[in-house]
Amino acid sequence: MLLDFLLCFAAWTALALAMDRHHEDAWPGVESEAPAAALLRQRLFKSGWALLGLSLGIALCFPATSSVALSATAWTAALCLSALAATALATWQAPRLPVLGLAALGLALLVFCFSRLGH
Amino acid sequence: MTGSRTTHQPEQEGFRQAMSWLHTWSGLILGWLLFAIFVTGTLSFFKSEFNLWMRPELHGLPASDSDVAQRAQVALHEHAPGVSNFIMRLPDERTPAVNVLWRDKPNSRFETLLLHPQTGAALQARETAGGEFFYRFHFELRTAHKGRWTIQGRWIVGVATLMMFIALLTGVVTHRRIFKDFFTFRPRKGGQRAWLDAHNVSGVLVLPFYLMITFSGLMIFHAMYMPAGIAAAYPGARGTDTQSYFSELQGDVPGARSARRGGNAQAEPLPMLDLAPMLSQASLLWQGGRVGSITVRSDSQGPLVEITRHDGDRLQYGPARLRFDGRSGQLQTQVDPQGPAIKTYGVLYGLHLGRFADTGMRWVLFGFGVLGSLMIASGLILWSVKRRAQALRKTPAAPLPFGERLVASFNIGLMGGLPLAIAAYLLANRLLPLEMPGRPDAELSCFFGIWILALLLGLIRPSRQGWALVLGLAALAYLLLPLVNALTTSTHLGISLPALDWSWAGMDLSFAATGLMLAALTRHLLRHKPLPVARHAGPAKSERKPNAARTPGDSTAQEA
Repeated sequence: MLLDFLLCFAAWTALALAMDRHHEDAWPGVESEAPAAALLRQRLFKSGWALLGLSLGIALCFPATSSVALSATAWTAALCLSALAATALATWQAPRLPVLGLAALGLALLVFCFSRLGH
Repeated sequence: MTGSRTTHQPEQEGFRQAMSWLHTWSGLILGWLLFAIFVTGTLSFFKSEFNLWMRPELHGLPASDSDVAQRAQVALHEHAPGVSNFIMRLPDERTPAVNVLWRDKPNSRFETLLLHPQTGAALQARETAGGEFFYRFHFELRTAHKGRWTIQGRWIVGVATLMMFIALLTGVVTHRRIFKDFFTFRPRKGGQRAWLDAHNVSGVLVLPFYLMITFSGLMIFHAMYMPAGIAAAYPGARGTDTQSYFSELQGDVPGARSARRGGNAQAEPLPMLDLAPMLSQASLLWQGGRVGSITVRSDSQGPLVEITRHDGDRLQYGPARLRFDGRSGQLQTQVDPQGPAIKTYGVLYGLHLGRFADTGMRWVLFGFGVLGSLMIASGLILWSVKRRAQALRKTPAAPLPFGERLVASFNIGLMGGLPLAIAAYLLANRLLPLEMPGRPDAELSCFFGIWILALLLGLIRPSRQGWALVLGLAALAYLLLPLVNALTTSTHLGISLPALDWSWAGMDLSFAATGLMLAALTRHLLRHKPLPVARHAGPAKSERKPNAARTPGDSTAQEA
């Protein structure tokens, strides 16, 4: 559940930052249509979807619960929960969005490595 | 709703506007009922905890003993001599007492008995509907402890659920910018914009949960709502043979001996059975899986024992069962419903009930339910706010028309009044005299009485002050709950917190937190006046980036 949440949160953050409105909120002064920003947004968009796919893949292939069914359920719950968290941050703490997204990704890596070590 | 003002694609307008109409009116007509169903259903995730909190006499029971089933059986025979059937639910970490149900005649109501988890002695707890009320209200609108009209109630809830499903699907079509505004919530803009954002965000972020809970809610009563298929496939001597259908759905062969139902003939009294060997065999076969309940009945071939696995052991509802001959203790059948259709049904059923959930997941489900309630509430308020803004744009200081006044009143009375009524129900549980005859129904009278009073308040004051009054009263009631609990019982925070007894402390803390949140909301309502209409009633801010829809990051928006 924690790993699902962290990966989905990182993914949602990337997808939010790929949108013009949240991109400009997170980096005030950046013109989201400028070529560099547009390219970054395109990459953020792709990595966001890739991360969502990756987290689902991990949930299905390395279930942390007693069954794959429960793991998929937990993933769906984490998907919604992390979307709520990303929205809350985009609303009230937009400039912190990029840092928190990256931190979640780093933490997810750590959590995944440690949970794999146990096996 | 936003669709009504965008005119650049006339050929698409038709469909979206048709859906917008359907979304608005299906939402409005059954919105208040849906809100009540959603709120009480959400509370039902903590049904066991409410059941316990509302019976403070059960506080401090020890963990259960391995021989408890046998002792409880002895106690039951003493309490109800000549009993011919019973269902015994064994204690788990959420319900500390043994719960035994039995009935004298095949179609009569179940008698219930609570037993001590170690000694098996009968426990005396106050008479209350407990958390079962929220549970029963949310799917059959039960209004009394031993209510009638339950089938009619299920039909009404079914219609409302179907409307909810329609509103969800049409909502995705109607709120055109739902994916473009995926993360967008602008509370500071105030008025219609903020309410629309709140409605969209609370709607889309948890959409998988809403779709699951609504669809599975319809599916659970599929035999009632859509009987034709079953009637065609299971013809019986007298109409439809629903019993064969349901026994197949539960993984049985039609006509098999069943501990759950039998003929109408008066059955022989049960002898004392040796349950321990059967329980240890079950534990062995399920590799340590928990036993949920033991069902025993005597039929023409003697006593039959059915051991059902704990339904928290897996996602699919309809747990595995073992059937034993009562006298010899010999295992007769292992029943575990499989097959693709049965599994699909069981998984959807299990997702709806959330029995699989541990504490963390249970809170997540609860939170999603709260958010769903807020989504319905914001939709209903949006209806009022939008109409009001339109009216005021045409003629400033226009009076509130009758229909809008009624909707505003219902919003305050039925939605704002519901948390207040729930608090009143819980307060009544602590304050009504213990020996009062018909106590469960008296508690329910408090619930419905306060709800009606709130509706009257709403009808008198369909305004911001009305909201503040009802929510302020609710805040007060929730803040009083831990105090009243401390004065009337020994299950209060002063005892449960030092003991780290979270199943009791969690309730009181949650009530206090709810009270504080409602108080903050009331304060906000009293302090902040709404922004002038002209500033925030403008159309959705799509002019921010004229060509935004063509950038790659927003390609999802075009699908919406």
